[in-house]
Amino acid sequence: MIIEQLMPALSPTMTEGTLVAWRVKKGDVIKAGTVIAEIQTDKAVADWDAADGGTVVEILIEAGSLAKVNMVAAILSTKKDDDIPAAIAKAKATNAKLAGSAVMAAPVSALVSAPAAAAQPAVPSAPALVSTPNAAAPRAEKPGRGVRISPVAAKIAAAFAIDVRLVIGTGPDGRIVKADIEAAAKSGSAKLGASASAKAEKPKLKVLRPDASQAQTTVALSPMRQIIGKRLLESKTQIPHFYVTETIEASALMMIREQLNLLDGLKVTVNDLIVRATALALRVHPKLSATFHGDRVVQHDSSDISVAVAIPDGLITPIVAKAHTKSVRQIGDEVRSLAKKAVEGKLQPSEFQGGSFTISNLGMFGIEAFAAIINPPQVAILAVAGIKDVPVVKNGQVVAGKTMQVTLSADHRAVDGADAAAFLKTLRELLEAPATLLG
Amino acid sequence: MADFEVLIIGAGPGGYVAAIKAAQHGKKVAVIEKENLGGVCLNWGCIPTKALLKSAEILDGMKHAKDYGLKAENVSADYAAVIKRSRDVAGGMSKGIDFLLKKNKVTILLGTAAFVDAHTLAVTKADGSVQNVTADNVIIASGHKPRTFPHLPVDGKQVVNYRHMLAATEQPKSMLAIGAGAIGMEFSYFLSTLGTQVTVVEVLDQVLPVEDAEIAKVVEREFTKRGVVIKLATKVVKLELKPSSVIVHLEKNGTAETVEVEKVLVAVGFLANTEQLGLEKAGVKLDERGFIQVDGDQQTSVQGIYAIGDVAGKQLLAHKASFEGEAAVAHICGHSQQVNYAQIPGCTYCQPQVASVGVSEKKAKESGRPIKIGKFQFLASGKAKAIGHPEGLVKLIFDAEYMQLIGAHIVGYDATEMLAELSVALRLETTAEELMTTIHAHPTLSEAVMEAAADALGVCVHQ
Repeated sequence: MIIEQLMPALSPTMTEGTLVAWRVKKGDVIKAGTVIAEIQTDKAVADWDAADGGTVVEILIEAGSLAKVNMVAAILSTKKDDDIPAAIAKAKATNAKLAGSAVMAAPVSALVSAPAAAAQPAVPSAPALVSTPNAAAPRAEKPGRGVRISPVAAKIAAAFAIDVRLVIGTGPDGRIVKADIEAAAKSGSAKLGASASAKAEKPKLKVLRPDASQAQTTVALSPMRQIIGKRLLESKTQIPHFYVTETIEASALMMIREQLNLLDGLKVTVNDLIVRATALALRVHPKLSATFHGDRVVQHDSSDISVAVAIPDGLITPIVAKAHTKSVRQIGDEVRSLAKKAVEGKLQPSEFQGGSFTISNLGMFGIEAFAAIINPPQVAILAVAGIKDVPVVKNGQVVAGKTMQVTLSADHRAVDGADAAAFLKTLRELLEAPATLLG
Repeated sequence: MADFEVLIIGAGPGGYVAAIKAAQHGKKVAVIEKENLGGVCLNWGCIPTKALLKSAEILDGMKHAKDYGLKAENVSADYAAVIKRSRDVAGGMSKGIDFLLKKNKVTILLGTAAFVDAHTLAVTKADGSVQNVTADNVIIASGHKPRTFPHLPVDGKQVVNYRHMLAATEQPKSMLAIGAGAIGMEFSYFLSTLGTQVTVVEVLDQVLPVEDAEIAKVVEREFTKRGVVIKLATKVVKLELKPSSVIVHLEKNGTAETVEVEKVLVAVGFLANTEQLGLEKAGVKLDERGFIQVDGDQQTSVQGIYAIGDVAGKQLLAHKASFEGEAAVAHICGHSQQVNYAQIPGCTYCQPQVASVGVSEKKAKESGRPIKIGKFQFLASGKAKAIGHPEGLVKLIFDAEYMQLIGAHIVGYDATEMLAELSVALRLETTAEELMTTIHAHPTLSEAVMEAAADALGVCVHQ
């Protein structure tokens, strides 16, 4: 009997996947349950075990290729008199039909292929500080969309303003179930403050003082810190970060801010101007307004800017949606409203899920410079430092000036150095001529 | 090296499923069976009784032919033929298990198993020969036996258990069932439909004591309409055996009463099938009720020895046994796939059928959490009316806070087949909104589920 081994759908959303490596070769005799290949899904690399046994008589999808679900990847034969050439012809026809276009079954980019090193990990799955694995709808618009979560868990998460992306699911295949959300609500981990419900307890930090004379305090990690740690460790270790720093002459920026603040009822911060400038720069450099999904990058027309906000024992990134369409004033009002909600724990999931780019601003602390860790599946994050009074050279003369350093961290899988530099150049031009931000 | 990686005692729905699962995971597996592959479920339980009940249901339909504009006069049952059909169905299924086990290269050892030590079992075959087999892991799936009481001596002729009933080829003129659980009620429906005068005696105050009280009441009413006499909160004090009848002495609230019947069916629970297994040699501990003690992964007090199904207690249901089998195999293979006992459905196949999953109204109220109940009577269902079965209802219980489904109860014509969507719903932590907004095909009995969810939300269309 001829048994076709069809490219499996290893997750409900999977429509295609990369066959990372074969574990069997032509001529091998396999049993049902044998792992025959490794497959990169939209979420992770998974083993593919055969449902049937037989002799591998043909392999149709080469390692490192992208294949659609249900394509014939290999053919097994269980009898000597099987008509193998006919089976291969049939399988090829099936694959051609499924492929539709010529791009399928051709080795994908150099980053992915390298089939020689079978043990080499394939493209790391995007760690889910932002989940949304579905490329067709990369940004969550409703609570829980794109996240595997049970209906009742989604409702509780909405009621408690819990960021479901920060919750680790313990249900089947990592599905978030009621118990996970209840635990998060109770510990206050993914939740943003206790005000959302009187039932939620404050995070309990275990403080051990074995001996008062020893000046040390052991603080157990709160679940939120554990998750931040896990997700950022994944990001930092799995994403090939690279960093580009630019110094911006900020005298004009400070001046325009002062002028704007002379207007009645208007309070503009440097951050508001930076968000606006970034939103405009992203429109010019859409490669940075993007999310990375294993085998593809999705560029987002809309500059939905995640703004990192510190909250007790953690941080959250509420989003200024469509920032490129908003005035400095609108952006300022929105950021302050979101930050207030964040600290009070009243953010709705739709207000912090998604985002196409993140800004982390530590300027208020006056620090010199820093680099941030990418918030996946986004491909870049901008770290904004403080504005300093420094001597600058203007027209050959050393004069008093103000500068601000910004550092872009970018994912080299999606963005190259030149892209990052070009983006920073545009950003600098906008910030150094801040009247452009008022248009 | 041991003879087998996994050795299973008993080839019922727990054992044979575990055997096949273990084989699929590449383990070297053997199953020891002393009687018939498929266990009680296939041979003396689930399947043959469903065959009997179908005969009864068709006869019932024929008797009501006139209601449907049809003519069928002088219809009657050929009791022996009905029993034969039931045996044939069971026999065919058992052969299917033999095929499945062989296909998965599971070794079948026919004989009685007893532990020699924790990793060795002596298999005594029909010819008296004994073979010792060793295994890395043992799964005990030896099932149950009907519980007996000194004052209810089962003789297999006048006083019988379900097994005798399934084999007897003569229809009793009158029968009294002790116990109004699923077995008592199913045989009562079967026999009463075929013309036997049936009395059901239950010590608790409702039929089908594990079911929701409101649902049980519907069944009680329908049975009473059919002429079955139901005596609740009634104890059987004594059985007095006469040459051709049994006088059953009953007591209710201190008042004595006697009923004379041809046959008494004792259906008052089960005991674990553990004696002769030599569990003490392996060191396997029992719980206070005599069932084998297991942890969430079905492992007994001895590492590498597992127990699943009836012998491990809790609900005595075939599907529970199968899933426990999968849990044991998962643990042997290094995973954990524990059974969620709050999500095990239960079905009774008399007419009207009863099916439920999750908590009853009483249990839900005992939890102290606010609940919302949604109901839909089949009387208001077009499909139920068209098929001539307007009896029964769907009753859904939700935790009021987020309207999560926590219990589902159906009594009605096809209740057992309707339950599946609610089992899925419970498993997926579904709330009333999803049930209500899932488009249910019209006309179906299942629309009642959607309507009951809508009722709980206060927006029911059709009632």
